[in-house]
Amino acid sequence: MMSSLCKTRLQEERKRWRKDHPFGFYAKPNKTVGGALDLQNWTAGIPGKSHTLWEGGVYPVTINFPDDYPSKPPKVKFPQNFYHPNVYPSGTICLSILNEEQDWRPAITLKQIVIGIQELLDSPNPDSPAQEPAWRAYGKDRATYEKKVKEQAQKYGAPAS
Amino acid sequence: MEQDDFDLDQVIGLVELLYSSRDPDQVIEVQKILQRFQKSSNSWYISNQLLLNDSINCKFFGALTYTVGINLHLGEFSTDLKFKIILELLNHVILLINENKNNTLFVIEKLLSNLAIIFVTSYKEWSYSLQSLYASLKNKNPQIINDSNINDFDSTYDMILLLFSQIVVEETSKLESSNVDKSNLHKFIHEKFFPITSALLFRTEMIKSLDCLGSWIQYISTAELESVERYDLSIILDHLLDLIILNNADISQRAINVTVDILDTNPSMLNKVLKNKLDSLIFGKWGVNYLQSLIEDHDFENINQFSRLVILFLETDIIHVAHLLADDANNEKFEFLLNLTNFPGIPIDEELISKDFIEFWSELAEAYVDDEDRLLVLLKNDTDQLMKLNQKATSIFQRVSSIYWSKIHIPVNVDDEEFKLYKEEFMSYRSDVADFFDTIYPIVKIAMYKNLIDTISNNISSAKPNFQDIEASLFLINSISSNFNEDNINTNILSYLTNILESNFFEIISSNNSNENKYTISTTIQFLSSIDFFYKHKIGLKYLPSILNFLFSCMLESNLYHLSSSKAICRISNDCRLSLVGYLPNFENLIVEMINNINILPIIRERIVNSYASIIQGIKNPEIQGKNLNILLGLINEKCVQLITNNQITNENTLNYLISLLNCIYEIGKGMQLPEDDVEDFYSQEEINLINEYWTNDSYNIHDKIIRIITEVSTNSSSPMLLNNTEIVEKCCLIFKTGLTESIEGPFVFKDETLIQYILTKSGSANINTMPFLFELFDAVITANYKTISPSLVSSTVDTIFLSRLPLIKTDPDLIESSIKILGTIVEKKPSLIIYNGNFTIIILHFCLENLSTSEKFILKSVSKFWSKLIVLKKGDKRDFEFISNLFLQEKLGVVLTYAVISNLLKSQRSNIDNFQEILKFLIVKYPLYVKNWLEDAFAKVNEERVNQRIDELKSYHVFIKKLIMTRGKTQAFQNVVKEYWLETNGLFNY
Repeated sequence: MMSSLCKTRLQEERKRWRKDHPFGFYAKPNKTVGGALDLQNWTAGIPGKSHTLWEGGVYPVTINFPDDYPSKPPKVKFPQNFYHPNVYPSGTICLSILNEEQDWRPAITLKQIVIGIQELLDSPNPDSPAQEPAWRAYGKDRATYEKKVKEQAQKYGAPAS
Repeated sequence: MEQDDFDLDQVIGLVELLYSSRDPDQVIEVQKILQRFQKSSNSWYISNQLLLNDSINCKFFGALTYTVGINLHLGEFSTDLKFKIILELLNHVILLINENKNNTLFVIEKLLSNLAIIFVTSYKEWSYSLQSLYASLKNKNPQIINDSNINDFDSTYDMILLLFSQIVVEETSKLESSNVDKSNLHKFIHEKFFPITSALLFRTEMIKSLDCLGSWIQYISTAELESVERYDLSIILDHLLDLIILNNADISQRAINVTVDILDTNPSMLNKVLKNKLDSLIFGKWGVNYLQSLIEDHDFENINQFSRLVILFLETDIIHVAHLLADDANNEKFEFLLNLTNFPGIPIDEELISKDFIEFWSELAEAYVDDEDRLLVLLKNDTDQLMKLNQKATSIFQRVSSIYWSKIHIPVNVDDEEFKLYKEEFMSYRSDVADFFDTIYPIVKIAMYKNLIDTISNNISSAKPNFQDIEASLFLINSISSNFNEDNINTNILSYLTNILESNFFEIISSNNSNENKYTISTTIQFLSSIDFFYKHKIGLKYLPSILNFLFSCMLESNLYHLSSSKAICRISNDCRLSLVGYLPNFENLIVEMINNINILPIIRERIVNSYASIIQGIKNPEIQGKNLNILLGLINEKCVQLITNNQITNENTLNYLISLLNCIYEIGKGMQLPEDDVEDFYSQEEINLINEYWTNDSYNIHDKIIRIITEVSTNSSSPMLLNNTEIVEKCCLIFKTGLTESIEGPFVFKDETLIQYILTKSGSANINTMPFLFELFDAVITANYKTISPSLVSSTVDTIFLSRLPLIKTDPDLIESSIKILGTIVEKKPSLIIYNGNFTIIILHFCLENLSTSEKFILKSVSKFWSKLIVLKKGDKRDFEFISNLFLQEKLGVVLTYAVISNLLKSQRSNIDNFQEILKFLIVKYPLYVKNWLEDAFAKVNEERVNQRIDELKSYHVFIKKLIMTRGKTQAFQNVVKEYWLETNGLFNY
């Protein structure tokens, strides 16, 4: 059961996002079958930074806020088998600001989270391997790594503009 | 710096040089020297002397040097010394004020800032800072006062006192909580400092004190957050609101700025009376006239600020605003808001008001959608009123949607340089509007959809269609479509869409392929992707061919649309495979082009082949499936053979083309997979029998054709470039994996022997980077077919790919990881497939023990899994269990493993503890009678080693063992005990 603190904070995050969010990103709560907002489950899109291998893609993530958010961090996931050294095969992102035992603080906002993930895309952390294929290629076969990242950017390509 | 080094003239010279030099290197050098002076024991003297110098540069640098000294040494000072510095600073303030020069204000501000820093950090010693400043100025003599009587103040120095007050609260806001007890400081400021400031503010012309008030507003927000202090600013703020309506634009605008700050940071500062006053200002005569005058003056900056004032004010109690709509007396208020939203001009480029209003209208809409209970309370439980409110809300949001529909139109000249300047922001605006439409859909519902569809229909039937109108409507429909699915779709919506598709919609859209129309085409593709609920419904099925034809033409026509249209084709083909069987011939020419044209982007080629295969899968008749696959694979094979035999793989481009062809086979495999988890949901038993029989016989030899292509590309020894290519092996393994999860026979379902043969053939390849893919394929074969695979086949494969190549495997962490992973999978799925291999106890266990000391996270994870599965032996039978128990108990594997786990656990990184915990937990659960002794032995041996290495022995391990055993492996308690002990032995603390 979502605490009132959690609900208030998520409403606040929604407001804050509306007021100020970075270009090219999107983030919104899912809707329940009845059309009401499901504030604990969001869908978001993270654009790859310009002039990086990730450019051109808008990478979808799901964000699940636990009942005891913001004491506990949200769980953020890319689609399964997303190709990145710090993303588990399940899609869960391994990032210190999303880890309760590392750098998560209740004051971290949704905007900071998605910008942190965007940053992670092109700056993988070799000390936190989460999946074997991308981590292996990143360390040993950079050409293959780059090819696969570019293919993935095409897969998640944004509409023409 | 030594006293002897000091020369005031030198300092003065350097200060002048600092502010006059244009050479950045020289400035840095001078700064370094001056910083040394500032930190020297002469700094107080230097500060004082510089302030007495006539040069304004020296005066400012003197004030700055005081700041350095205060920041560095204040904490060490006695009260007397602090007072001495305060008096010096006050003296300089007096001197500068009496000089009465225009250009000294910034020096005075710096001096007041120094006094403020001392005050906020030493307020218990120097409680009467304002009084001291006043008395010093009045008497022209620096003095420290211990009297709080404001009545003695005359107004001569009000402005300088207010400036000091302003700086004090600004400095307080900057203070780190760790440096000072902020809660007490806030209390002191509220009780002792604020009353004087308040009195000064009250008696001063508000226009002159707005900056001070602004800083106080910011400070109060922080103070109320950090303490229990609560301020009453009602009288001052009442004054402030009076300033808004003064007939002086400058004053009025500055007062609005402060009010906006209040609403943005701490709207609770405005009590009900003040809110009512502000409400009547904004929505009364003044608001209308003020806005009108700004419009006449084209004063866009202040129009934006006014709209921010309106929005922030209304958002302070959005539910209250929402309920006001029920009362017709408030209609004008809402008209005012609608007019403001509809401010003329292109958003972002010419106006920002409508952008700010998206947020307001979204908040208001959510109040109607999510807060009906609270609205009903505000309406005193009058359900008739609630009904009226909802009707009016529907009507008002229809009008809002109409405004935003116009606003998001793409400018006609998209190649205009000016548009490019604000394009990114404009697109973000459109996306915010799309979200807003999604938000208001539950209120306006189908009427909004119909309006959007009508604008499209009207334009299509018009002689001169407006493509911007069409684009805007499609763009917004895309956003609303997320509200629909096959189960909740309304028949009206289906019929609206039918009307569009029955018209010459595609013809019109395709008729204009100018660059200006690129957004319309792109948005139409998105639209076709977003209406899956439509084409999954029987009403929509008949439009699939025309939809696909349009998408194909877009894909082939321009690189602008090929990614999005191929994605849409792929999605539609997958979802509607059964309905598209008749469309298959339309693919044929395209497929030939896709496979034969090297210049097609690989992802496009692969998506189209996947789409084609999905439809073939939907045919259900295996004979026809086989026939189509035969043609498709024939095309691919022909091209592959041509590339290889003619030695055409000469560069990256041709190699990528060949790999893409291979990937097409993988896409065929994926397309041919059963779309449902349960085969009986898709086929009847009779059909299943027929399929099994057909694919066992395989009249078109599809299996052989696939193998032939794989062999030609991947095991052709005449082409070392292909033979050693890692990506080719990866793709071949992926092709083989597509059939492994299938529950009935099929074109990609191969015999285990075929797959193993490929693994064995390729594992002899020189390129060790391909090995992990082969190991993964072997792992997948075991996972899928462990029940039926022959033990001798597994055993011989392990011997060949693992044991015979062990020295090579040991050189590469990836090979170690993937080989241990397979061993873990075999032990997990069917231990008997490996444990009776003669080399299991001799080589395999030893290898897995060795790797407990690895620092590679992935290896540790797989080795942890291996040992955990071996201990638990979940899928083992009685014989397996006895065999493994014997190893642990009689052959002393338990002792050896426990020692390896404990010694490596204690040395491991914190993030790796979990992997050792897992093994330890299962040892405790599975061997409770033995594990205590094993642990005692392990710690004794660890201590022996520590003594040899001259490291302190571990003392408390007996307690640790006891605690560990008592947890009986229960996860949370067990983890805590291990973690605490690990922290203790590594001299760390939990945080």
